[in-house]
Amino acid sequence: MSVPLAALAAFTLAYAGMTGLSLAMPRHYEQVAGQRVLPSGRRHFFRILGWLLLILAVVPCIQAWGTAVGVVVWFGFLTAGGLLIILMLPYLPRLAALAAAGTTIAGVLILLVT
Amino acid sequence: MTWLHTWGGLWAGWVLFAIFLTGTLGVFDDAITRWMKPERPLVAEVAPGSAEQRAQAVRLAQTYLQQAMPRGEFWSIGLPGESDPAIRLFWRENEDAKFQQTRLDPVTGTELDKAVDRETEGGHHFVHMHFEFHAGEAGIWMVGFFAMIMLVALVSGVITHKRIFKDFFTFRPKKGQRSWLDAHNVASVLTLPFQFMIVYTGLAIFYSLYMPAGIFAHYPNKDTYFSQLLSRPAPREETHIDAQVASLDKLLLTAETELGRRASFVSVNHPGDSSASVTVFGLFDEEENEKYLLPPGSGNVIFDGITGETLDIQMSGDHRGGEAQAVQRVMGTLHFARFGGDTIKWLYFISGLAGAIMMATGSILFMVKRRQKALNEFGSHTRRVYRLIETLNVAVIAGLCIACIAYLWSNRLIPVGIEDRSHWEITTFFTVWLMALLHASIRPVASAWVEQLSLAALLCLALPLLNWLTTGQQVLTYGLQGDWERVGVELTVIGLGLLLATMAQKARSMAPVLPPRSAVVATQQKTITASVPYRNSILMRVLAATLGGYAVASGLAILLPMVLPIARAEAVLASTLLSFAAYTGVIIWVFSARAPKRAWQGVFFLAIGCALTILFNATFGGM
Repeated sequence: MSVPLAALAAFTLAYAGMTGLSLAMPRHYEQVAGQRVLPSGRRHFFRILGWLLLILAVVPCIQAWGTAVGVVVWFGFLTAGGLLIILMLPYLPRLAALAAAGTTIAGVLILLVT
Repeated sequence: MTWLHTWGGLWAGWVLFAIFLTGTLGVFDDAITRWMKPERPLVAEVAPGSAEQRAQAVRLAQTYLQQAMPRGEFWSIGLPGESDPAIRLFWRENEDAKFQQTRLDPVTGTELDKAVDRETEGGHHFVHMHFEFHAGEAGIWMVGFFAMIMLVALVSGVITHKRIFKDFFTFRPKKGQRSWLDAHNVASVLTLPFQFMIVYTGLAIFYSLYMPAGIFAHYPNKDTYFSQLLSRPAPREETHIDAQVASLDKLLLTAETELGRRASFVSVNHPGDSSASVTVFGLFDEEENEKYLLPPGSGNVIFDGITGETLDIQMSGDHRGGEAQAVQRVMGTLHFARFGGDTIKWLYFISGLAGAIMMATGSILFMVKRRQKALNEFGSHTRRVYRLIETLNVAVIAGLCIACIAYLWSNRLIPVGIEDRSHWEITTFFTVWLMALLHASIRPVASAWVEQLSLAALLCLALPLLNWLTTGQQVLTYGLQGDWERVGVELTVIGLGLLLATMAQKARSMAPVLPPRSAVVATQQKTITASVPYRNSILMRVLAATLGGYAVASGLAILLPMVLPIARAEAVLASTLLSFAAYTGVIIWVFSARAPKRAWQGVFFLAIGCALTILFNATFGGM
């Protein structure tokens, strides 16, 4: 996988994964959905989806940079993805969630195509 | 633990902010250097050249250096390469003398006009600020001292801010103190793995300087230790017998044949002395090396500088010093971001900025808490100390931003070709920083913040204009030429300028003030924190932590190699690397002990325990 494409896939998946994890918390779910009640089924869904996407983000990193370097790069993208969702949540919560849905699809597509 | 985090963080935070911000800019030192040398062709396209051309370049260099300094500490010759088509020469007479350098035409060997390539430290200035504050070994020690405090601040921070995982994604803007705490938490928790890594690896790079006890206990000197660890000949003592340096061009060609690759750099130790030695370094292939955390390296060959006899050949991919040395090298690769190419550089840049923001918000938070309600930690001096802290906050956080961007301005404004030009650029940096301190100390705090942040923003945003007016170059032409390093510098500066402008705007709307005089005066009676016994107990703990902790860590670095079942040199390295963790542990323990007396007892017993075990091993272990 080429480096720019791998970086894009890793970043989109890391961002989507971090967003998933934040939506599993009532406080942030409320920011997006407008209601604080987070059904436990939905909480589990977001949490599992979040972790899954974060783990998936390591795949393009390892493909492009090899195992050792790839894992370090992955950590970097987790930080970058986390910072972005944290900055988006208070200002544009709905857009942040929508974007995460979009980046999930984009990230998975890149993985499937390459 | 909260006490340790608050006060340790405050006093160390200013220096750490400077280390972090300059280190973050230093990630792109090559790109910044390139921007600061606008006379260089937009995109350097230098043909690799033949072996004969390189040999010719070395001949010219040797002729020049023989004239300039026939005898001295070292000569270094950088061969023409992609970043610079000239021959670069560096030399120094002795350790106290001035570092000399010049550039030669690679074909004729004539000295190039200084105006052709503006003399500047470039982006390396930020790197030097980062690890030594331009203060040599004393500076390295200071940075190491603060790096240890940072390690402790990180551990104590995780304990202090218990809610960091609950508040993992929480940033609530426009909520005053709450927002500062959120920003501080968020900037730290997301970059925590990065920060632990960057501090620990930073200490590990200078391990033999910071924690030399293990080395000196097991070896007569560092040279012997390193030559055994890396299985290479030890540097030779100067004999003071005159001798002619061998023809470097022949050595270069021999080395290229041995290494199977082009050479890029030649260094001569003790030229003119019979102890002279020559090292020829292979060309470092960045793309090949950035795939590894344990890079194969470029290889080098060491020759006797007089007879030309080959003393050592280290091929690319030849890893020496066993696993301990491999760990130390991986740490170096991690710290210097020498892997993963541009992707990792940008990720480091983001994490580094977040780290700087963590320190800045921590220092600001300290005062935000006390603006509402003075805590009278300093009795009747409280108001003056608060004012000092506010001043330093402005001068270090906003002032350093001004100094950094002013450094880039000075690069375009100081006339090209004047004597000691690079020195003047650095002087500008420090002068501007000092002026920022002066400004912050005479202006009301609120105005000082707004004015300094605005100035920094203005200087950033106007930099492309200055560049265009002074050199006629601008970001569009850079882009059209495909000169992405220079494009990156200009766009990043604009981005940082916008960030600073936003912060200036925020500072304007917040208007921080000192706690009302009445709040302080009303409680003039001494608070516990200002009492003499309390201060003494703090002093006792600080001494137990720094001195006692260092003694215990040194003890471990001496003791562990005696019992570890691996080669002695590797064991010394492994133990020394571990001793930094032990040091951190002792400091944390000293500050969590119930009373200073208990802390001292604990440290004392640990140190005695180490000493006795060392004695026992030395006596019966056949050391």
